[in-house]
Amino acid sequence: MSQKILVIDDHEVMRDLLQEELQESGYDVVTAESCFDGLNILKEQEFKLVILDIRMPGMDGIEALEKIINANRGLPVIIHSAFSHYKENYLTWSAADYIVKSGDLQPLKDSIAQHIR
Amino acid sequence: MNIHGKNILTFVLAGGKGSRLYPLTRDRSKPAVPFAARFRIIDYVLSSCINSGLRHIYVLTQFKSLSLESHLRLGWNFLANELGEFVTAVPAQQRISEAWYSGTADAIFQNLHLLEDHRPEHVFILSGDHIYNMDFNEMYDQHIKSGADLTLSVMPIKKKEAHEFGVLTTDENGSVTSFIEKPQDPSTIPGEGDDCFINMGVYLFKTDSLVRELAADAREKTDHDFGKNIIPNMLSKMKVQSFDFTASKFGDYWKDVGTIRSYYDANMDYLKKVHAQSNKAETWPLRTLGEQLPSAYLGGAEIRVSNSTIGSASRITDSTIKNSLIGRNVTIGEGCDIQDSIVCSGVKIGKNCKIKNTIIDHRAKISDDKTIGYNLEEDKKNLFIADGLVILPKQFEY
Repeated sequence: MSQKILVIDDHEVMRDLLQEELQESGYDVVTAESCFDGLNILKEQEFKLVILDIRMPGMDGIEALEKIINANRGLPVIIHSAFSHYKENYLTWSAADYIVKSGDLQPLKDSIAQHIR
Repeated sequence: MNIHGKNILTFVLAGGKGSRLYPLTRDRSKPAVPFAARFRIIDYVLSSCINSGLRHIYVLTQFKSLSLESHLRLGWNFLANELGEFVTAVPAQQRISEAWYSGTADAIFQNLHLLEDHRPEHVFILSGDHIYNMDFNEMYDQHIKSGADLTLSVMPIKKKEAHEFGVLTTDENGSVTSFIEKPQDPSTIPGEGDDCFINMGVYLFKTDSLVRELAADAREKTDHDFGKNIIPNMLSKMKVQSFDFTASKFGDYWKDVGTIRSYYDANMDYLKKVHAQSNKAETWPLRTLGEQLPSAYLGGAEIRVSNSTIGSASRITDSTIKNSLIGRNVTIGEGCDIQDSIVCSGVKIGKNCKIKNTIIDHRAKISDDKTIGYNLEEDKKNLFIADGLVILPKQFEY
Protein backbone atom coordinates (compact mmCIF):
# COMPACT_ATOMS: atom_id res chain seq x y z
CA MET A 1 0.00 0.00 0.00
CA SER A 2 1.37 3.42 -0.89
CA GLN A 3 2.23 5.94 1.80
CA LYS A 4 -0.31 8.63 2.39
CA ILE A 5 0.61 12.35 2.44
CA LEU A 6 -1.61 15.33 3.29
CA VAL A 7 -0.87 18.59 1.46
CA ILE A 8 -2.29 21.77 3.05
CA ASP A 9 -1.94 24.77 0.74
CA ASP A 10 -4.38 27.51 -0.23
CA HIS A 11 -3.06 27.77 -3.82
CA GLU A 12 -4.86 25.44 -6.14
CA VAL A 13 -1.99 25.40 -8.62
CA MET A 14 0.44 24.28 -5.94
CA ARG A 15 -1.97 21.62 -4.63
CA ASP A 16 -2.45 20.21 -8.12
CA LEU A 17 1.27 20.28 -8.89
CA LEU A 18 2.19 18.50 -5.67
CA GLN A 19 -0.58 15.96 -6.06
CA GLU A 20 0.52 15.10 -9.59
CA GLU A 21 4.26 15.00 -8.86
CA LEU A 22 4.02 13.09 -5.61
CA GLN A 23 1.57 10.57 -7.01
CA GLU A 24 4.04 9.98 -9.81
CA SER A 25 6.64 9.30 -7.13
CA GLY A 26 4.35 6.63 -5.73
CA TYR A 27 2.68 8.43 -2.83
CA ASP A 28 -1.02 8.57 -2.13
CA VAL A 29 -1.87 12.31 -1.84
CA VAL A 30 -4.84 14.04 -0.21
CA THR A 31 -5.09 17.84 -0.40
CA ALA A 32 -6.74 20.51 1.76
CA GLU A 33 -7.17 24.17 0.83
CA SER A 34 -7.21 25.50 4.41
CA CYS A 35 -5.81 24.56 7.80
CA PHE A 36 -9.34 24.04 9.11
CA ASP A 37 -10.02 21.47 6.40
CA GLY A 38 -6.59 19.91 6.93
CA LEU A 39 -7.12 19.50 10.68
CA ASN A 40 -10.51 17.89 10.07
CA ILE A 41 -9.08 15.47 7.52
CA LEU A 42 -6.31 14.57 10.01
CA LYS A 43 -8.94 13.60 12.56
CA GLU A 44 -10.54 11.15 10.14
CA GLN A 45 -7.65 9.65 8.20
CA GLU A 46 -4.18 8.44 9.00
CA PHE A 47 -1.19 9.95 7.23
CA LYS A 48 2.52 9.25 7.13
CA LEU A 49 3.51 12.88 6.52
CA VAL A 50 2.06 16.39 6.16
CA ILE A 51 3.22 19.18 3.84
CA LEU A 52 2.14 22.53 5.19
CA ASP A 53 2.15 26.02 3.69
CA ILE A 54 2.45 28.96 6.14
CA ARG A 55 0.72 32.00 4.65
CA MET A 56 -2.90 31.02 4.32
CA PRO A 57 -6.15 32.88 5.04
CA GLY A 58 -7.99 32.00 8.26
CA MET A 59 -5.61 29.91 10.32
CA ASP A 60 -1.98 30.17 9.27
CA GLY A 61 0.40 27.25 9.01
CA ILE A 62 2.25 28.13 12.21
CA GLU A 63 -0.86 27.80 14.34
CA ALA A 64 -1.84 24.65 12.46
CA LEU A 65 1.64 23.18 12.97
CA GLU A 66 1.28 23.45 16.75
CA LYS A 67 -2.11 21.80 16.64
CA ILE A 68 -0.96 19.01 14.34
CA ILE A 69 2.14 18.27 16.44
CA ASN A 70 0.10 18.20 19.64
CA ALA A 71 -2.61 15.96 18.35
CA ASN A 72 -0.37 13.66 16.27
CA ARG A 73 2.92 13.00 18.07
CA GLY A 74 5.35 11.31 15.75
CA LEU A 75 3.73 12.56 12.53
CA PRO A 76 6.37 14.48 10.52
CA VAL A 77 5.33 17.86 9.14
CA ILE A 78 7.36 19.56 6.40
CA ILE A 79 6.86 23.28 6.08
CA HIS A 80 6.68 24.31 2.43
CA SER A 81 6.63 28.10 2.23
CA ALA A 82 7.62 30.72 -0.32
CA PHE A 83 9.15 32.70 2.55
CA SER A 84 12.35 31.76 4.33
CA HIS A 85 12.14 34.20 7.23
CA TYR A 86 9.69 32.03 9.20
CA LYS A 87 12.69 29.78 9.84
CA GLU A 88 13.63 32.29 12.54
CA ASN A 89 10.29 31.82 14.27
CA TYR A 90 10.62 29.36 17.19
CA LEU A 91 7.15 28.03 16.51
CA THR A 92 8.29 26.53 13.21
CA TRP A 93 11.17 24.61 14.77
CA SER A 94 9.00 21.65 15.62
CA ALA A 95 8.56 20.89 11.92
CA ALA A 96 10.60 17.96 10.62
CA ASP A 97 11.96 20.19 7.85
CA TYR A 98 11.53 23.59 6.27
CA ILE A 99 11.66 23.75 2.48
CA VAL A 100 11.41 27.05 0.62
CA LYS A 101 9.11 26.78 -2.41
CA SER A 102 10.81 26.86 -5.76
CA GLY A 103 10.34 25.54 -9.30
CA ASP A 104 12.50 22.58 -8.40
CA LEU A 105 10.55 20.05 -6.33
CA GLN A 106 13.56 17.79 -5.80
CA PRO A 107 14.53 19.23 -2.37
CA LEU A 108 10.95 18.63 -1.19
CA LYS A 109 10.94 15.08 -2.56
CA ASP A 110 14.29 14.36 -0.90
CA SER A 111 12.98 15.66 2.39
CA ILE A 112 9.81 13.56 2.13
CA ALA A 113 11.89 10.44 1.43
CA GLN A 114 14.03 11.23 4.45
CA HIS A 115 11.25 11.94 6.94
CA ILE A 116 8.28 9.79 5.95
CA ARG A 117 7.48 7.08 8.48
CA MET B 1 27.72 40.48 36.44
CA ASN B 2 24.11 41.09 37.40
CA ILE B 3 21.24 39.41 35.65
CA HIS B 4 18.93 42.37 36.18
CA GLY B 5 18.56 44.00 32.78
CA LYS B 6 19.82 40.97 30.87
CA ASN B 7 17.60 39.46 28.24
CA ILE B 8 16.36 36.54 30.33
CA LEU B 9 12.90 35.03 30.62
CA THR B 10 11.94 32.92 33.62
CA PHE B 11 9.35 30.18 33.76
CA VAL B 12 8.24 28.82 37.11
CA LEU B 13 6.57 25.42 36.78
CA ALA B 14 3.73 25.54 39.26
CA GLY B 15 1.40 22.80 38.15
CA GLY B 16 2.49 20.25 40.76
CA LYS B 17 -0.41 18.23 42.12
CA GLY B 18 1.39 17.34 45.34
CA SER B 19 -0.68 14.18 45.77
CA ARG B 20 1.36 13.06 48.77
CA LEU B 21 0.64 16.35 50.54
CA TYR B 22 -3.06 15.53 50.67
CA PRO B 23 -5.21 16.95 52.33
CA LEU B 24 -3.18 20.18 52.15
CA THR B 25 -3.48 19.90 48.36
CA ARG B 26 -7.17 18.99 48.39
CA ASP B 27 -8.21 22.42 47.06
CA ARG B 28 -4.94 23.81 45.74
CA SER B 29 -1.79 22.92 43.83
CA LYS B 30 1.42 22.17 45.72
CA PRO B 31 3.08 25.60 45.17
CA ALA B 32 0.05 27.25 46.80
CA VAL B 33 0.29 25.20 50.01
CA PRO B 34 0.85 27.48 53.03
CA PHE B 35 4.33 27.50 54.52
CA ALA B 36 5.43 28.59 58.01
CA ALA B 37 1.79 29.66 58.58
CA ARG B 38 2.63 32.90 56.76
CA PHE B 39 3.90 32.17 53.26
CA ARG B 40 3.07 29.88 50.35
CA ILE B 41 5.62 27.39 49.05
CA ILE B 42 5.98 29.31 45.78
CA ASP B 43 7.07 32.44 47.67
CA TYR B 44 10.53 30.91 48.04
CA VAL B 45 11.37 30.61 44.37
CA LEU B 46 9.70 33.90 43.50
CA SER B 47 11.57 35.73 46.27
CA SER B 48 14.85 34.33 44.99
CA CYS B 49 13.96 35.48 41.48
CA ILE B 50 13.15 39.02 42.59
CA ASN B 51 16.13 39.25 44.95
CA SER B 52 18.42 38.02 42.16
CA GLY B 53 17.09 40.55 39.67
CA LEU B 54 14.93 38.29 37.49
CA ARG B 55 11.92 40.42 36.62
CA HIS B 56 10.28 38.71 33.66
CA ILE B 57 8.53 35.77 35.19
CA TYR B 58 5.77 33.53 33.90
CA VAL B 59 4.26 31.12 36.40
CA LEU B 60 2.76 28.17 34.54
CA THR B 61 -0.23 26.77 36.39
CA GLN B 62 -2.79 24.10 35.66
CA PHE B 63 -5.43 22.24 37.72
CA LYS B 64 -6.67 23.65 41.05
CA SER B 65 -4.90 26.90 40.26
CA LEU B 66 -7.41 29.40 41.62
CA SER B 67 -5.74 29.73 45.01
CA LEU B 68 -2.31 30.15 43.41
CA GLU B 69 -3.46 32.63 40.82
CA SER B 70 -5.20 34.74 43.42
CA HIS B 71 -2.06 34.68 45.60
CA LEU B 72 0.06 35.85 42.65
CA ARG B 73 -2.40 38.56 41.71
CA LEU B 74 -2.75 39.94 45.21
CA GLY B 75 0.76 39.34 46.52
CA TRP B 76 3.11 39.47 43.57
CA ASN B 77 1.72 42.26 41.48
CA PHE B 78 4.23 44.91 42.54
CA LEU B 79 6.75 44.97 39.68
CA ALA B 80 7.04 47.93 37.34
CA ASN B 81 4.80 47.14 34.41
CA GLU B 82 5.97 50.31 32.72
CA LEU B 83 9.50 48.92 32.68
CA GLY B 84 8.30 45.68 31.22
CA GLU B 85 8.68 43.77 34.47
CA PHE B 86 6.09 41.19 35.51
CA VAL B 87 5.17 38.13 37.48
CA THR B 88 2.27 36.69 35.51
CA ALA B 89 0.31 33.49 36.00
CA VAL B 90 -0.25 31.58 32.78
CA PRO B 91 -3.03 29.03 33.26
CA ALA B 92 -2.92 26.01 30.95
CA GLN B 93 -4.96 27.55 28.18
CA GLN B 94 -5.36 24.43 26.09
CA ARG B 95 -4.53 26.82 23.29
CA ILE B 96 -3.21 24.20 20.95
CA SER B 97 -4.72 21.03 22.32
CA GLU B 98 -7.45 20.08 24.71
CA ALA B 99 -5.13 18.19 27.03
CA TRP B 100 -3.41 19.42 30.19
CA TYR B 101 0.37 19.66 30.03
CA SER B 102 1.60 16.12 29.60
CA GLY B 103 5.00 16.81 31.18
CA THR B 104 7.34 19.57 32.32
CA ALA B 105 8.79 20.02 28.81
CA ASP B 106 5.31 20.07 27.29
CA ALA B 107 4.39 22.94 29.63
CA ILE B 108 7.15 25.04 28.07
CA PHE B 109 6.49 23.76 24.53
CA GLN B 110 2.84 24.77 24.75
CA ASN B 111 4.04 28.26 25.66
CA LEU B 112 6.63 28.60 22.90
CA HIS B 113 4.76 31.67 21.69
CA LEU B 114 5.92 33.46 24.85
CA LEU B 115 9.53 32.76 23.89
CA GLU B 116 8.78 33.93 20.37
CA ASP B 117 7.24 37.15 21.76
CA HIS B 118 10.13 37.94 24.12
CA ARG B 119 13.07 36.41 22.19
CA PRO B 120 15.22 36.08 25.34
CA GLU B 121 18.86 34.99 25.07
CA HIS B 122 18.56 32.68 28.05
CA VAL B 123 15.69 31.01 29.86
CA PHE B 124 15.50 30.01 33.51
CA ILE B 125 13.11 27.13 34.21
CA LEU B 126 12.44 26.71 37.90
CA SER B 127 10.25 24.49 39.98
CA GLY B 128 7.63 26.21 42.10
CA ASP B 129 7.48 23.60 44.83
CA HIS B 130 10.85 23.52 46.58
CA ILE B 131 12.01 25.29 49.73
CA TYR B 132 15.35 27.03 49.12
CA ASN B 133 17.01 30.36 48.55
CA MET B 134 19.31 30.89 45.62
CA ASP B 135 21.17 33.80 44.08
CA PHE B 136 20.66 33.04 40.39
CA ASN B 137 23.46 35.49 39.48
CA GLU B 138 26.04 32.92 40.54
CA MET B 139 24.53 30.29 38.27
CA TYR B 140 24.18 32.75 35.39
CA ASP B 141 27.85 33.80 35.67
CA GLN B 142 28.98 30.21 35.43
CA HIS B 143 26.56 29.51 32.56
CA ILE B 144 27.98 32.41 30.53
CA LYS B 145 31.62 31.59 31.32
CA SER B 146 31.23 27.93 30.40
CA GLY B 147 29.19 28.68 27.28
CA ALA B 148 26.87 25.81 28.20
CA ASP B 149 23.66 25.07 26.34
CA LEU B 150 22.17 24.03 29.65
CA THR B 151 23.34 24.60 33.21
CA LEU B 152 21.49 22.71 35.90
CA SER B 153 21.82 23.12 39.62
CA VAL B 154 22.84 19.99 41.52
CA MET B 155 23.44 18.98 45.11
CA PRO B 156 24.69 15.85 46.84
CA ILE B 157 22.35 13.69 48.91
CA LYS B 158 22.65 10.22 50.40
CA LYS B 159 22.23 7.35 47.96
CA LYS B 160 19.31 5.85 49.86
CA GLU B 161 17.24 9.01 49.24
CA ALA B 162 18.45 9.64 45.68
CA HIS B 163 16.11 7.26 43.85
CA GLU B 164 13.30 9.83 44.09
CA PHE B 165 15.24 12.33 41.95
CA GLY B 166 17.17 12.69 38.72
CA VAL B 167 20.67 11.43 39.48
CA LEU B 168 23.67 12.56 37.47
CA THR B 169 27.41 12.15 37.21
CA THR B 170 29.90 14.79 36.11
CA ASP B 171 33.50 14.93 34.97
CA GLU B 172 36.18 16.94 36.81
CA ASN B 173 35.03 20.14 35.05
CA GLY B 174 31.43 19.77 36.17
CA SER B 175 30.27 18.70 32.73
CA VAL B 176 27.33 16.29 33.05
CA THR B 177 28.28 12.82 31.78
CA SER B 178 25.16 10.83 32.67
CA PHE B 179 21.65 11.56 33.84
CA ILE B 180 18.99 9.07 34.91
CA GLU B 181 15.57 10.04 36.27
CA LYS B 182 14.61 8.12 39.42
CA PRO B 183 17.20 5.34 39.01
CA GLN B 184 16.89 2.06 40.89
CA ASP B 185 20.60 2.05 41.60
CA PRO B 186 21.80 5.68 41.74
CA SER B 187 25.42 6.40 40.71
CA THR B 188 27.52 7.88 43.50
CA ILE B 189 30.03 10.73 43.28
CA PRO B 190 33.52 9.22 42.99
CA GLY B 191 35.47 9.74 46.23
CA GLU B 192 32.41 10.99 48.15
CA GLY B 193 31.26 7.78 49.81
CA ASP B 194 27.58 7.09 49.19
CA ASP B 195 26.62 10.61 48.11
CA CYS B 196 24.88 11.14 44.77
CA PHE B 197 24.38 14.33 42.78
CA ILE B 198 20.70 15.05 42.26
CA ASN B 199 18.94 17.44 39.89
CA MET B 200 17.21 20.26 41.81
CA GLY B 201 14.90 21.28 38.96
CA VAL B 202 16.71 24.59 38.43
CA TYR B 203 17.63 24.98 34.75
CA LEU B 204 19.25 27.74 32.74
CA PHE B 205 19.13 27.23 28.96
CA LYS B 206 20.42 29.06 25.94
CA THR B 207 17.10 29.80 24.28
CA ASP B 208 17.98 28.38 20.87
CA SER B 209 19.20 25.12 22.40
CA LEU B 210 16.07 24.87 24.53
CA VAL B 211 13.70 25.43 21.63
CA ARG B 212 15.59 23.01 19.39
CA GLU B 213 15.32 20.28 22.03
CA LEU B 214 11.69 21.00 22.91
CA ALA B 215 10.73 20.96 19.24
CA ALA B 216 12.55 17.69 18.60
CA ASP B 217 10.97 16.14 21.68
CA ALA B 218 7.50 17.40 20.75
CA ARG B 219 7.68 15.54 17.43
CA GLU B 220 8.11 12.23 19.22
CA LYS B 221 5.93 10.14 21.49
CA THR B 222 7.73 10.65 24.80
CA ASP B 223 6.83 11.69 28.35
CA HIS B 224 7.83 15.26 27.39
CA ASP B 225 9.70 15.62 30.64
CA PHE B 226 12.95 17.50 31.28
CA GLY B 227 14.33 14.80 33.55
CA LYS B 228 13.26 11.78 31.53
CA ASN B 229 13.73 13.06 27.97
CA ILE B 230 15.20 16.50 27.34
CA ILE B 231 18.31 16.39 29.55
CA PRO B 232 19.38 12.78 28.79
CA ASN B 233 18.96 13.49 25.04
CA MET B 234 21.08 16.62 25.22
CA LEU B 235 24.11 14.94 26.79
CA SER B 236 25.52 13.43 23.60
CA LYS B 237 25.20 16.51 21.41
CA MET B 238 25.26 19.61 23.59
CA LYS B 239 27.19 21.11 26.47
CA VAL B 240 25.37 20.37 29.69
CA GLN B 241 27.06 21.78 32.77
CA SER B 242 26.30 21.27 36.46
CA PHE B 243 26.19 24.10 39.00
CA ASP B 244 27.21 23.09 42.50
CA PHE B 245 24.46 24.51 44.70
CA THR B 246 26.22 23.64 47.95
CA ALA B 247 29.14 25.93 47.04
CA SER B 248 26.77 28.86 46.40
CA LYS B 249 25.62 31.63 48.73
CA PHE B 250 22.56 29.87 50.17
CA GLY B 251 23.78 26.36 49.48
CA ASP B 252 23.17 25.03 52.97
CA TYR B 253 19.46 24.35 52.49
CA TRP B 254 17.17 22.90 49.83
CA LYS B 255 14.15 20.77 50.50
CA ASP B 256 11.63 19.04 48.29
CA VAL B 257 8.54 19.04 50.48
CA GLY B 258 7.03 16.02 48.80
CA THR B 259 5.47 14.36 51.82
CA ILE B 260 3.59 15.50 54.90
CA ARG B 261 6.62 14.59 57.03
CA SER B 262 9.13 16.51 54.89
CA TYR B 263 6.71 19.42 54.74
CA TYR B 264 6.42 19.47 58.51
CA ASP B 265 10.19 19.15 58.96
CA ALA B 266 10.82 22.04 56.57
CA ASN B 267 8.41 24.19 58.59
CA MET B 268 10.24 23.32 61.79
CA ASP B 269 13.57 24.08 60.03
CA TYR B 270 12.17 27.52 59.28
CA LEU B 271 11.59 28.02 62.99
CA LYS B 272 15.20 27.05 63.71
CA LYS B 273 16.41 29.54 61.10
CA VAL B 274 14.33 32.34 62.59
CA HIS B 275 15.83 31.44 65.96
CA ALA B 276 19.36 31.54 64.51
CA GLN B 277 18.57 35.00 63.04
CA SER B 278 20.44 34.37 59.83
CA ASN B 279 22.02 37.63 58.59
CA LYS B 280 21.44 36.48 55.04
CA ALA B 281 17.71 36.80 55.57
CA GLU B 282 17.94 40.57 56.02
CA THR B 283 19.36 41.18 52.56
CA TRP B 284 17.34 38.38 51.01
CA PRO B 285 13.76 38.96 52.14
CA LEU B 286 11.14 36.28 51.75
CA ARG B 287 8.18 38.06 50.24
CA THR B 288 4.51 37.13 50.28
CA LEU B 289 1.06 38.63 50.24
CA GLY B 290 1.00 41.48 52.77
CA GLU B 291 -2.27 42.39 54.42
CA GLN B 292 -3.11 45.44 56.50
CA LEU B 293 -3.71 43.86 59.88
CA PRO B 294 -3.22 45.01 63.47
CA SER B 295 -0.46 43.51 65.63
CA ALA B 296 -0.95 40.22 67.40
CA TYR B 297 -2.40 40.40 70.92
CA LEU B 298 -1.09 38.12 73.65
CA GLY B 299 -3.11 38.48 76.84
CA GLY B 300 -3.66 37.16 80.35
CA ALA B 301 -1.36 36.47 83.28
CA GLU B 302 -0.70 32.88 82.26
CA ILE B 303 0.52 33.29 78.71
CA ARG B 304 3.75 31.54 77.79
CA VAL B 305 5.20 31.65 74.30
CA SER B 306 8.55 30.16 73.35
CA ASN B 307 10.33 29.38 70.08
CA SER B 308 7.28 30.30 68.03
CA THR B 309 6.11 32.84 65.50
CA ILE B 310 2.74 34.58 65.84
CA GLY B 311 1.08 36.26 62.85
CA SER B 312 -0.57 39.68 62.78
CA ALA B 313 -4.06 40.12 64.21
CA SER B 314 -3.89 36.87 66.15
CA ARG B 315 -5.35 36.85 69.66
CA ILE B 316 -4.08 34.44 72.28
CA THR B 317 -5.06 34.46 75.92
CA ASP B 318 -3.64 32.56 78.92
CA SER B 319 -2.18 29.74 76.85
CA THR B 320 1.13 27.99 76.29
CA ILE B 321 2.60 28.04 72.78
CA LYS B 322 5.82 26.16 72.20
CA ASN B 323 7.82 25.32 69.03
CA SER B 324 4.92 26.34 66.82
CA LEU B 325 4.09 28.50 63.84
CA ILE B 326 0.90 30.49 64.32
CA GLY B 327 -0.52 32.32 61.30
CA ARG B 328 -2.44 35.57 60.97
CA ASN B 329 -5.85 36.20 62.44
CA VAL B 330 -5.74 33.09 64.61
CA THR B 331 -7.80 33.00 67.79
CA ILE B 332 -6.72 30.74 70.65
CA GLY B 333 -8.91 30.59 73.75
CA GLU B 334 -7.81 30.38 77.38
CA GLY B 335 -6.02 27.39 78.83
CA CYS B 336 -4.69 25.93 75.58
CA ASP B 337 -1.39 24.13 75.23
CA ILE B 338 -0.02 24.06 71.65
CA GLN B 339 3.29 22.39 70.89
CA ASP B 340 5.26 21.48 67.76
CA SER B 341 2.37 22.48 65.51
CA ILE B 342 1.53 24.59 62.47
CA VAL B 343 -1.59 26.71 62.82
CA CYS B 344 -2.45 28.47 59.57
CA SER B 345 -4.25 31.78 59.18
CA GLY B 346 -7.83 32.31 60.25
CA VAL B 347 -7.92 29.24 62.52
CA LYS B 348 -10.11 29.40 65.63
CA ILE B 349 -9.24 27.22 68.63
CA GLY B 350 -11.56 27.11 71.64
CA LYS B 351 -10.64 26.94 75.34
CA ASN B 352 -8.56 24.28 77.10
CA CYS B 353 -7.33 22.46 73.98
CA LYS B 354 -4.16 20.39 74.04
CA ILE B 355 -2.56 20.15 70.61
CA LYS B 356 0.73 18.58 69.58
CA ASN B 357 2.36 17.53 66.25
CA THR B 358 -0.59 18.88 64.29
CA ILE B 359 -1.00 20.84 61.06
CA ILE B 360 -4.13 22.98 61.06
CA ASP B 361 -4.97 24.44 57.64
CA HIS B 362 -6.62 27.79 56.93
CA ARG B 363 -9.80 28.71 58.79
CA ALA B 364 -10.29 25.36 60.52
CA LYS B 365 -12.28 25.51 63.77
CA ILE B 366 -11.60 23.51 66.92
CA SER B 367 -14.12 23.64 69.74
CA ASP B 368 -13.37 23.68 73.50
CA ASP B 369 -11.58 20.91 75.43
CA LYS B 370 -10.16 19.01 72.44
CA THR B 371 -6.97 16.97 72.70
CA ILE B 372 -5.18 16.36 69.40
CA GLY B 373 -1.89 14.65 68.61
CA TYR B 374 -1.38 12.86 71.93
CA ASN B 375 -3.11 9.60 71.07
CA LEU B 376 -3.01 8.93 67.33
CA GLU B 377 -5.12 5.77 67.65
CA GLU B 378 -7.87 7.85 69.19
CA ASP B 379 -7.38 10.74 66.72
CA LYS B 380 -7.58 8.34 63.81
CA LYS B 381 -11.29 7.84 64.46
CA ASN B 382 -12.12 11.44 63.54
CA LEU B 383 -9.07 13.05 62.01
CA PHE B 384 -6.66 12.66 59.11
CA ILE B 385 -3.28 11.22 60.11
CA ALA B 386 -0.17 10.97 57.88
CA ASP B 387 3.46 10.29 58.75
CA GLY B 388 2.66 10.41 62.49
CA LEU B 389 1.13 13.88 62.23
CA VAL B 390 -2.47 15.01 62.53
CA ILE B 391 -3.79 17.23 59.75
CA LEU B 392 -6.96 19.29 59.95
CA PRO B 393 -7.87 20.33 56.39
CA LYS B 394 -8.95 23.80 55.35
CA GLN B 395 -12.19 24.95 57.02
CA PHE B 396 -12.48 21.64 58.88
CA GLU B 397 -14.60 21.81 62.03
CA TYR B 398 -13.78 19.61 64.99
